[in-house]
Amino acid sequence: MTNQLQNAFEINQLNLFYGTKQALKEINLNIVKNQVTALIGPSGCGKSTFLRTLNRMNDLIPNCKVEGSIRYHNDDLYAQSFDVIELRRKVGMVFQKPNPFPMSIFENVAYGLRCQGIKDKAILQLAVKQALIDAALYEEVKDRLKESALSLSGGQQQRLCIARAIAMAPEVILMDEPTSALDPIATAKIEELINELKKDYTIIIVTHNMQQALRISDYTAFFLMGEIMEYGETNQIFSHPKKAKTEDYITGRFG
Amino acid sequence: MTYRAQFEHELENLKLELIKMGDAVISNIKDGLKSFLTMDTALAESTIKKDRLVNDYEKQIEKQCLQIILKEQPVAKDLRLITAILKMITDLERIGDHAADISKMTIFMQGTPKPFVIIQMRLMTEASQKMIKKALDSFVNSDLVLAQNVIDDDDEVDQYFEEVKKIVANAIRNNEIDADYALYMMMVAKYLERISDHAVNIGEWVIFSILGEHKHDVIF
Amino acid sequence: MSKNKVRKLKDLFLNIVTYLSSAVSLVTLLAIVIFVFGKGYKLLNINLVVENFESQGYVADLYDTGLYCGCSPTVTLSEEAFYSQKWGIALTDTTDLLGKTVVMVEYVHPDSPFKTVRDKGISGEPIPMRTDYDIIRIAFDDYPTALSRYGSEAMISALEANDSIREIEFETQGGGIRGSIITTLILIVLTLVLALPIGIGAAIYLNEYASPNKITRTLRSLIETLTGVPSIIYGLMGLAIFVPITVKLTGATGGNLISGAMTLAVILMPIIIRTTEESLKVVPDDYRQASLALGASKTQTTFQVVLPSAIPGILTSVLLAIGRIIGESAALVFAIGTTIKDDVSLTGKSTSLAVHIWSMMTDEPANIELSATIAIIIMIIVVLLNIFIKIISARYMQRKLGVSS
Repeated sequence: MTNQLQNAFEINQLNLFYGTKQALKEINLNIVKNQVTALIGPSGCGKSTFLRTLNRMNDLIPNCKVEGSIRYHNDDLYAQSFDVIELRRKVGMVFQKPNPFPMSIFENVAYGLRCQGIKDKAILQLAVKQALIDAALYEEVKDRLKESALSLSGGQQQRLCIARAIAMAPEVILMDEPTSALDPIATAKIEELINELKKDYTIIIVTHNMQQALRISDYTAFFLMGEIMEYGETNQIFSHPKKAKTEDYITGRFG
Repeated sequence: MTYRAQFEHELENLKLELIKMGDAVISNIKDGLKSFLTMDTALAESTIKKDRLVNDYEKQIEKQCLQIILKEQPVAKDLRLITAILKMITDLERIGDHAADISKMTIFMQGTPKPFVIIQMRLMTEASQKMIKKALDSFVNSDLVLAQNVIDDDDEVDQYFEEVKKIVANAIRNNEIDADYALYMMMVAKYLERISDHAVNIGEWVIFSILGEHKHDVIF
Repeated sequence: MSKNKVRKLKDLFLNIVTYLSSAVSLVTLLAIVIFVFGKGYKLLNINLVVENFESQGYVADLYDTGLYCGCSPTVTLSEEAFYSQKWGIALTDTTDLLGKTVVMVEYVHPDSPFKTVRDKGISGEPIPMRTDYDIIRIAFDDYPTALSRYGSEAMISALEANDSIREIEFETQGGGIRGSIITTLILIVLTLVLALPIGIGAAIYLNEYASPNKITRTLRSLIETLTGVPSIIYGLMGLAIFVPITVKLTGATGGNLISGAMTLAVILMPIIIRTTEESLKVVPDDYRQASLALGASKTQTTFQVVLPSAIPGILTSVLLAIGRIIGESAALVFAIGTTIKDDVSLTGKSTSLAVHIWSMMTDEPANIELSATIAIIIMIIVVLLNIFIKIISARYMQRKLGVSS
């Protein structure tokens, strides 16, 4: 079965330094395509840092040095010639705190497309509508697309951010603790959404919530102090982890 | 360093309760057979009453386990532990019932002619008591080998049971034994055999809590 | 519990100090406003705003001689006006825009010979007599000249006593500040046009693009220091650098609007850079991250997300800038000159309202009333501009955010 699954990312010997401090050590990992991979681990263990290497958002941090390779579609992300802008269109990101722009709902979702140069009103309207439908938000906002995005509730804002990312027709969606700022119902809606999205996108999600990882992910990687302690199918990691440190973490004995 | 002292404490308490339940059950088995062999109806009655304690233990421990599942949503070894305990108390409770049944036989047997001593009965009792003790020890110490031993010990008890059967059958054929008494004997022997089967179950759940497999079937 | 009491006393003391300071500030502000209004109210006149500063003097005689009017006024004249039936003209004593007492023409009958007079000077053109002209003197053939000094009543009786008039000397109303108002408004626009793009651009570079190293920090400290330099130094710089440049490149002959605007732009630039930077800093980093993660370039992020969010703050800095421009007097004395002009041109001499006030105050005697009046007008302009910019800001926010929730 494994040979039929393709890899979205192939990470080899990844090392990341902030100045002299090493944040990621010898990461070797394959992210399976069209599956949900969860990244868990204690605070400061490097999972968010790792997530950001996949769309090169780490470039924004001064003194950040990356060694090793991340292959995406057989291209090395960190090669000189690699088009970062194009990468970020194909690899979208949703952040922990919903961060819609102070613009109308429509403009938020259309933003990325406009940046790409798409000006045709008809195309934009269609794309925005479809993205909102896919993000399970359209019904709630279809009558007020011109209203400010900031008038939406927290859960709706997060779904708007997801719609905004989906509008770019990415292949991968990175999510950094997307529900940690939301109430249980909003969380449930987004988890359901992730279950739907998984059919068409590869999703990598950082989460602190063990049960969430169990509910929605197919694979889980446990990060500790910048290294991957264990990686495997989610069910196995949470019922019978191979490493004692993994078990200690997921049972909350240490963290 | 553990961040869940409270939780650990609760788990320790659970284990303690389980041991207490086990001890209560073991003593009830001993008293049950003693009352049968000595036809001590007073002892029989008190043993039957003590079974209520065992049932209470089961309810109490079951409640605690479900509370923990609700509150803590345990994973990995914690989940295996709680699940195993839930299953083990069922077996212990059944054992308790069987011990009470043996005492009931004593009461029914009032007035039947003097007992015909079969040493294997005592041996079965001792063996099954030992098995329960071993099973609980293997649980407390997470001792895989000990748990496996319990499963193997069952053969011994089965053998005793076969011998009892033969002896009683012979005695019936030779008219050496009162018919009612023979039947009650067999029932007591059967209860004792069931008790050790339950002890084997407990051993298997101990193995599950360690390995995540039950009867070689991988659950986790 | 003594600790509680001490704490309560402390709270009370601090509260009193706070209220007291607010009261003092309020009283001081009120005092200034009341002073200005009190002194300047009398001279407040719409003509002040629309009239020329220079009064034009004429010496004229009657166009048609020998014509008498013998008419009654067609409108009701004021109580203090004196009317000449013979000549059909009404004069009154009044103060001009500068505060001097003059004899003003209040009314001219349509049939009055005074309706049109002839310029005795080179042009010889007919000049219509207007009702706000000031008569300086009327000379008769063999009658003592009626001077404005003696008042309109004397002048009217002199007119009645005579049948012919040799010449009339009069002047148009002057003292209007129209020229200075226009100069000030042009200065505002020109300075903003120069200072805003450069200032905002520099702020964007410093905040969004520059890497946070020693050079950037030094640059920032320098800019902050510049905001504290007294503006008269900038005025000297303007005189020494911008005036010669503009003289060379345009037809200007000295301080002019362009050099004034350039000097003001230099004064304002550090302030605009500072306030814009602050507005940019306040834009949450979340927006930048979200934009970049969607595949926008840094430039797109800066100009399509960050800058629009910072616009309210930038508009505030514009308001501050305008206030500074209007109030700046010392620097402009050198950079633009103190000549009060009626027709304003970019390369010609003229001056701003603040310097106009300075000019009035350095006259002999100092014209406090007029200065206060101009101050009132300045305040009105500032309030109007404030309201205007606030409306623009509100409209912009509404449009950007869609229908407000």
